[in-house]
Amino acid sequence: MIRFSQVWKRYPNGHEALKNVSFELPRGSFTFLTGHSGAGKSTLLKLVTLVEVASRGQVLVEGRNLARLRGNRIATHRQTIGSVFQDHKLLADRTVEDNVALPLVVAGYEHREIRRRVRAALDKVGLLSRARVNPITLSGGEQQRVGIARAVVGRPKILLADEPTGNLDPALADEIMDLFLQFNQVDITVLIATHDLRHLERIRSQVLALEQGQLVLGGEAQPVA
Amino acid sequence: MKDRFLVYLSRHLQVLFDSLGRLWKTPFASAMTILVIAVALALPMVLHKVVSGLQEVLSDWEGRSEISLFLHPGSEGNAVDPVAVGQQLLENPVIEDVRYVSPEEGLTELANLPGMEAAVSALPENPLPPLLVVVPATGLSVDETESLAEELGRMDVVDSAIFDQRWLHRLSAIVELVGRGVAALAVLVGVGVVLVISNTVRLGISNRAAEIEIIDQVGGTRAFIRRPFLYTGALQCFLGAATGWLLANVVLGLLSGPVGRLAALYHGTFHLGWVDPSTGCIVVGVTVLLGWSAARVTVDQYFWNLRPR
Repeated sequence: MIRFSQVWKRYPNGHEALKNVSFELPRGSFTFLTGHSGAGKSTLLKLVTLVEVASRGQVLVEGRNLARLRGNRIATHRQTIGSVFQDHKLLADRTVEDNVALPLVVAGYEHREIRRRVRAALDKVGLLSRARVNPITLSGGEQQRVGIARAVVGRPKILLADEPTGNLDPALADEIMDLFLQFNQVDITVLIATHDLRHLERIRSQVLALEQGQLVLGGEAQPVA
Repeated sequence: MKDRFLVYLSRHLQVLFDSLGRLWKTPFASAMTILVIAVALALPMVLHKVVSGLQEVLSDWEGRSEISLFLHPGSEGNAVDPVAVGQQLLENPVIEDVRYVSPEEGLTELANLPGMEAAVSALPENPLPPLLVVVPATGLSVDETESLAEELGRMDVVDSAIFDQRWLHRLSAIVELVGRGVAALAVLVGVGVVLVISNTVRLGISNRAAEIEIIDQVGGTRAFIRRPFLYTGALQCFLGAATGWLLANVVLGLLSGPVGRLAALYHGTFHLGWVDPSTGCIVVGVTVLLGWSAARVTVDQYFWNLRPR
């Protein structure tokens, strides 16, 4: 569960990225976060992962008040969240399986368990055969699937994606979205920031729309005729 | 519990070997850093040995201080018997030994000095007075020895008493000053090591900024992110200090022969010796600690910028 209560975010340069944002995403929900560039989508995701802290208001994630987390509890909180990025953020000097294993390595899992889970995650995204290759040899769609495998390998409760299909052609983008839907089926809360309205048309889900930092839509998506 | 410990241990070993691998992958940069540390540490180690050797020699010289009592000319032939005076002086508890040098013995010693034989033979008569060489008791300070010389100089039979160890005193003060300088240099070298490692770690962080960002976002703790940099700093310091120790001993080995020959020319012995294993281990240990601490402070500074704001 993710709950924002009257959240404001003001950056040191004075820019107000979020203004009085309140919403609640129940556990196991699938939500699109939409809005133009600069509307505050990335800032909202950063508040959930605690890369940024709210200037005012309260952010609750799985019952945790993020304002109270300090030190290693921030790291533990992030281990419960899987993040997918538009630019994949893969390490070019490591193999695909090493990239996917990273969240498990930092969490201190035993080597055999890491190997087992990594293989399962890569199998799920259809890249088991590419486990030993360097990610820079993969296509954009494949790299994004590696990013998704890394996000889900730690069995997170929440999956966040910031423009995950931004650089992909429509067919690949649909494949990626279908993967998110599959993970949502196993009770993972999914929140995807996108400005591609085509996904909202294709997938019926909750939508949060931001405009200049303010939440202008926070209900069920209306199917487009 | 045991499994968790084994996982923890294997993670540390993995980071250690990863850090060694990273040093190996950048041989030139790593060698430069290690050599800078080695040369910086070798200098105070060599100077420390030189100063220690000098202090040993000076202490030996100070321990061998003597007072020369020149008796009035003619004392020998008169009622005063220098040997009897010497015997009388030996009753003084602060005097350890008295040696009598007759004018004839003195003249012979003088004639034996290079180039003096002709001058001595040209003398119409022996101008030297009888001499008593007084050796003060062991443990007498320079000030106490000076007081004793003054006291002996006031004796009727004594023309003059000479105790000139002020030069030794001054030399000792200079050596002590140099010793302090070496200590200060060691501290400065320590600061230098901290700065070198800090700079290397900062460069390492800059090269791995993307990796750190990803590890941070997938839930890596500060300790996890910090660990490779701590190992890199400690490893560079370990290798630098060990090389410095080796280098210092090579330099001391090269210097010991010529220094020994020079000392022999002045009828003395001067052993530079080696930087012994216990000192070497202390230097390596302290340097590793400095490297570890420098890396820790530098990474923590970086974390300050990563904190949620």
